[in-house]
Amino acid sequence: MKKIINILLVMAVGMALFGITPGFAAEKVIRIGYPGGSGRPVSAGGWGYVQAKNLFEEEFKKDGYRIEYNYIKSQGPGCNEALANNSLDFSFHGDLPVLAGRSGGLKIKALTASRGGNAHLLVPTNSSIKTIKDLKGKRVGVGVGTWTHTLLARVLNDNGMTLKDIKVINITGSDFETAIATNDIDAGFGSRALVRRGVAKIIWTTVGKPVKYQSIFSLVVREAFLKQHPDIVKRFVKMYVKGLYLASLNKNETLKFNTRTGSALQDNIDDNAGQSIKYITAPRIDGQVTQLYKEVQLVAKNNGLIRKPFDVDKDFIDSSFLEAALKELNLENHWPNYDYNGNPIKK
Amino acid sequence: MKFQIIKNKLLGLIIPLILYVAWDFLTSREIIPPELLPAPKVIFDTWWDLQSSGELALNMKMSLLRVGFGFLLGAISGFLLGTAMGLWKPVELYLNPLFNFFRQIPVVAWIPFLILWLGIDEWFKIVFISFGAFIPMALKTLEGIKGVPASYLEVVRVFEYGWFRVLRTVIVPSALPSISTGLRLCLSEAWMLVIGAELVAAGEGIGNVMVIARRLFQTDVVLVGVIVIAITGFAMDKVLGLLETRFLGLHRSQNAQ
Repeated sequence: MKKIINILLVMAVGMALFGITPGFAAEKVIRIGYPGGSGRPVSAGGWGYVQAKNLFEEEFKKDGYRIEYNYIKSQGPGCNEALANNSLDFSFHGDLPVLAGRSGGLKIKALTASRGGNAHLLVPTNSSIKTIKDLKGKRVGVGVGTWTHTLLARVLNDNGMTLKDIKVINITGSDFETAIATNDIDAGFGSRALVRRGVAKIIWTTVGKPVKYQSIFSLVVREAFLKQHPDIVKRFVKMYVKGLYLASLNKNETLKFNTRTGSALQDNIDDNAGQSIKYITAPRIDGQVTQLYKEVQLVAKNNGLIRKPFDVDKDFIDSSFLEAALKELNLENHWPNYDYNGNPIKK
Repeated sequence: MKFQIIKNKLLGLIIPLILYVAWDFLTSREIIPPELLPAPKVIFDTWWDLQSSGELALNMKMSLLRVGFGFLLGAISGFLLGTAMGLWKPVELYLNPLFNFFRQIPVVAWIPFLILWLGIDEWFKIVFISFGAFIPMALKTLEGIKGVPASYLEVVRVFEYGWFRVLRTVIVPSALPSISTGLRLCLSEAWMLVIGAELVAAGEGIGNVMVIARRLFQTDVVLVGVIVIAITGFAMDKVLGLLETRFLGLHRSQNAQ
């Protein structure tokens, strides 16, 4: 009898400690993931304005939600894993990881998309590699499963090669930067920061090429979270669109603002030469985005990066939250839809 | 007698069977989300895909080659050190403390240095595997030789055998069981380590297939990798076990006569 009372006592204390204390009772937090691993753990563009102006914090304060920004070193593939084990609610990552995740059964929905991201194919400064064709048999560093993985497959295919003709070294973020500086890899996609530091030179870039080579990043949400908290998702998307709107007002301002991530202003200007600020902040999953998704999926399939392709239009995209947000904010006509080549479609 | 053996073998199958049924039940009804644990049928289909496309064979070949070289390198050097320490007291006195110190270091702890010294290509993997294979081999060889019963040595001293004859008729036969245990440990260690090495860095190989599949969210491929690794390791141990009973069994019975 005494034993039973003791057990009950322990259980009561346990419940008092873990059940009633607010810190332990299902803490209210919205967790957002981004690919990270190089630069500062803050975002540029629309996300940057959302962070700098505390838009989410203000919006969700009254509901008692904390906002958590996670910069994940293993990049898009890491975001997928975190979504799969419920460590993230939202994530913003590149085309191949989003599609690969969905193809692998990850239950996510794409809410918005952004386009126009660039990458540069770098080689060490003293390298003799001059063209894509010279990459044959060379060690190329790439974040396996990130958007530059399909980009690499693409540019190799353009030159009559495949990923099998090079040595793929799985490496990301600051490890990649070190490896190219020490000549441990012969080439790889990276940012202009390495050129600025004098350790690499560019042999090919997406800047000035057809837009199909550029990245599509998507805001995705865990389906279970979406079902549980449609209202939170709605307000979340609205605040994000607000951030995008602020970013879309003045290109020079925004490019200057983006240096908060650690990038140099001149690099931001060079990367976005010829792209309007409306284009790089446009959030709709329009014809251009879905077409590019399909193309990336096909490239990925042909190169063995996605095994089970799925119907991109059906069962993956949910634009209703974005459209509602645009309407509430009176921004329905702020951004045009874009065609395959990145030109605005006139209404 | 025979019946008892079969019954014992069947007993070992009961729990795997229960686990399999539970796995099938939980995944086919999606009680466990398929992205966290794919269903057995999916695993089988994926395995067949990888098998029929030749992808699995190609990568297995690479892994097995690495294991082969690493195993040979590790086993031979381990055997030589173990024998030297077992037969010559001064060698043991000089080297055993160092060896004992060395074997306390988990092989994975060498990874940073091995990469620094050898890069991330084949040599790194082979040397890494051989480090792991070397230790059990040296240890078991030494143990085997040290374990030769003193009475045997007494007898051959009385008969005034030459050293080669002592080695051939007494030391090798009585050390062989321990040496062959060493070989089995050494091979299973090599197989574990090749996967470790490929998870760190590789172009091809079954471990690398798993790394890439993980990054591409192909949970099914990762699980196929796990199962293939298990079956291969199991099979390799069985083959060595069969060879052992065949040759050593014979040896032992000869010895007994």
